[in-house]
Formats: sequence, C-alpha cells, structure tokens
Amino acid sequence: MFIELDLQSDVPIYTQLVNGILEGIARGELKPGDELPSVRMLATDLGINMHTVNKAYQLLKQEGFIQTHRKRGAVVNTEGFPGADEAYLQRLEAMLKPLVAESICRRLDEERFLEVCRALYAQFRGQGGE
Amino acid sequence: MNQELFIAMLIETLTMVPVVVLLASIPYLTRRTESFGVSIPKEVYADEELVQMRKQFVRRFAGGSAVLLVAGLLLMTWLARRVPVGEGLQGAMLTALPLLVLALHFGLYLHYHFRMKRLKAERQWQTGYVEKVVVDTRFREQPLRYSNFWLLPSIFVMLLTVGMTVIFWDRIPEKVPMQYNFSGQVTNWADKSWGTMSLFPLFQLGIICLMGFVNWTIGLAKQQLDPDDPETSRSRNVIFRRRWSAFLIWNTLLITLLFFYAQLTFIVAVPGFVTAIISSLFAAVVLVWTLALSFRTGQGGSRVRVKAQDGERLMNRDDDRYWKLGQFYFNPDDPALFLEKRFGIGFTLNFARPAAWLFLLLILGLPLGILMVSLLIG
Repeated sequence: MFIELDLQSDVPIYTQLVNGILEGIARGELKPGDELPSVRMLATDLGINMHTVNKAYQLLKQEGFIQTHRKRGAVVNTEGFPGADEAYLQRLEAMLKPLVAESICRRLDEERFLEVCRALYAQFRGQGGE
Repeated sequence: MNQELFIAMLIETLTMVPVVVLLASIPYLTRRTESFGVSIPKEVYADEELVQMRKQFVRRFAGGSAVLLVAGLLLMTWLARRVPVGEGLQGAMLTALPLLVLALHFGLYLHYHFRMKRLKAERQWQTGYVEKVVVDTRFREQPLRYSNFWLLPSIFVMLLTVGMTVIFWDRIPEKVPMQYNFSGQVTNWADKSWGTMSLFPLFQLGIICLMGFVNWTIGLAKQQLDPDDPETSRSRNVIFRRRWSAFLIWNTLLITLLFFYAQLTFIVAVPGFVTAIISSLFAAVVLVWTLALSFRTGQGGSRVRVKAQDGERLMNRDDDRYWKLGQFYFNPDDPALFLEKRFGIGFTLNFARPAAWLFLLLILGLPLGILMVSLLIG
C-alpha cells in the first residue's frame, strides 16, 4: 500500500500519516494482522523525524486501529476495530460542521453533499473487494 | 625503463577510455527528476536547454579527457627519449592522470550545477506542482537484494587459497615476487614468511566483508519512489537494487579468484604474459560489466523499461537545500543513512549522521588494517 505525504500542506505530517493508514484499512489494503513498517524504516523512507512516525502510530494505537507487539512491531488490530460510539459521533459532527457550513454558503444543496459522501463510501468499498 | 613507462601509460590510457565513457554519460544515467544535482519536475528533463546542457557536458568532458590522455602520452614519449624516469615519478604520473580526469569531471559538473540552479530560480518550474513523498508500506517485504549466503563460494575460494598455501608451503621459494611491471618483469621481491603469505587471503577476507556489508546496505537504503508514478518507480527500484546486488556478489567471486591465482603464482611458476593476460581479462570483464549494468539500469532503475502510466502534476520533494554542491547529502532531520546518489550511480551517505563518518572511516581503514594484521603475523 502506498502512503502519500504532501510536504507543503498545512495538515501536520503525523495527521497525514494517520489518515493514510486509516484509508488503507478502509480500502481493505491493510487487513487485521498485517504488519506496518517499523518506525525507523518508515521514517527513513519518508525522510522525516522518527518522533513524527511514532506519534502517528501512538495515535492509531490509542484509537484501537493498530497494536504494537514487542517482536512484530506495529500490526493492524486483530481484535476488531472500535465501533462508532457516542464520543466518535460527537467528534464526527464537530468535524463536519464547518464543512456543511461552507457548503451552505457556497449554495451546495444537501443532496449533492450527500452524493459526495456516498461516492467516497463506494470508492473505499469498491477497492476493498479486490 | 623508459619504454616501460610508455607502455604503462598506453595501457592506462586504454583502461581510462571506458571510465571516461561512463563519467561522460552520467547526465543520461541519473533519474529524470534530477539534472546536474538539482531536482526538477521530470517533464523539464526534456527541455531544450537541458538537452543542450547534457550534450555540451558530454562533448566538453570527453574532449577535455581526450586532450589530457593524449597530452599525457605525448609527454611520456618525449620524456622517454630524453630523461631517465625513476619508479617514483612513474607511479606519480600513473596516479596523476586519473585524478586529473576526475578533477575535470567535478569541475565541469560544478559549472553545470550552478547553471542549473540559476535556471531553476529563473524559470520557477516548481510552480503548479505539488511536492509529494510516497512510500510503499510493503516495500521491504519483497527481496531487495540477494542474500549474503551467496558469498559462500567466495569464502570457499579464500579457504582454498589458505589451504593451498599451507599444503604446498615447502614449494614456495624463499623470495617471492610482489610486484610486476607491464612487461612481466618483477620489480619488487619479498621474503617468504607467514606475514607475506597471509596478505592475499587477508585481502580476500577484507573484500568479502566489505562487499557483504555494502550488499547489506543495498537492502537498507532509503526507498525513493516517484510520486507521479509510484508503481513503475517501485518496480524499477527493486530491479536496480537486485542487479547491483548480483553484480557485487559475482565480482567478489571474481576478485577472490584473482587473488587465488596470484597466490598460486608463488607455488607454481607461471610465465609473466599469462599473468598479464589474466589480469587484463579480469579488468576488461569488470569494466564492461559495470558499463553495461549502468547503461541498462540507470540510477535507481531510471533506464529500465517498465510500462509507464500517465500521472498528475506531482514532483519529488525539492530537497536541493540538503544537497551541498548537489552531491553531498546533509540532512540532520532525515534518519536515512544510505540513499541514492544524485549525480552518479549507486548510493551515498547522509553526512549529517555520525554513523556515515564511521562508515567512511571503516572503508578507508580496511586496507590499512589488512596491512597491519599481515605485519603482525609476519
């Protein structure tokens, strides 16, 4: 699976890394039990600080998407991913709020907004079937 | 003696030809995302001005080298007629010529490097491009190099060399030839001792260790994919690494065999011309192989034909500021120790890491270490 970083972006690199790995899992390219590169190797290949990679892995671990083993390093969680609980729904709403607001300002109707979401769902699922 | 010097110069000039060809071609062997040590979007590689610069570089370097080599030969012919030339001067002249060619190469490179930098600042190629870094999380799950177990045949040859020396110890004469000149006459003798006899096996051991280490770094070096077309550049990169790994392993065997032969000449008297033929053949094979591999593979596999895809307007991370003079990588924030050279073929070091200097010391210290050990045994 490819992970792509935009180095000029305002989005912090560790966030881009977290997103890249989550997208890989959503597409089904990363399956439970799959090993991720070691912190050192990934930092070397990306040419970024090891702390940055470590931070991304720690965040993913906290959220329950990956586990860290002493021997195998970081592994995609085999004990099932966390569900969309109340806390997540609250966060989702908070993150969507400005997007919906801007969409309304730009006169994008509700249906078009939902279409974009559906297309994204289909994209991730479609590639997961391979 | 004077005749001798002329022949030596002639042979050296001939062996310099493939080296000059390789050095002249470097602008064509690098990745398309670089030009004279300056990073560029790969579409710009075909820009008319850059095309002209590459052609000019080849013409100037090839021309300059030809002038140097011919001038060297002429100087030798002239000297050979007039002055008696001693061993020391002979050695100095043989070393000076390749050094002059290398200096010319670096000087010309610098000229075009700075010209490229000005051009880049003027033309603002980067605008409209998004700089990206792409990695494949499974890159290292595939074999990137051949195992160091393939060095076992070379180790076997080394043991054979040692065994042969011990078994036929009595047949080795009290004085052994250590150095030949180009007409096959001995110029340097050494007394037979465990020290002198262990020199070649120690060289074999040193080469095996060094090549094993370099082969190991091939698997370790930074993954450098083209964000515009990660799939293609990944395939290319893997091919590049595997071919050079195979090259290292085969060459280790060739070198250990050459030292085996050299040790054999202590035990069995071999006519000088046989030795001359064998060592020239060895040099020819290694040079041709290096040339063929460089041209067929290119830096990072840039010349390997893989089905290309159309990409978006993406370019590599612009890391010019970390490349001092476009050639020396110094980036304290990059944990990578080994990465691809920019203007050349193969790998270089991140000099911001102390381990890089340690590595350099190790390589430079190896021949010295071998001589020390050989003296200690003797």
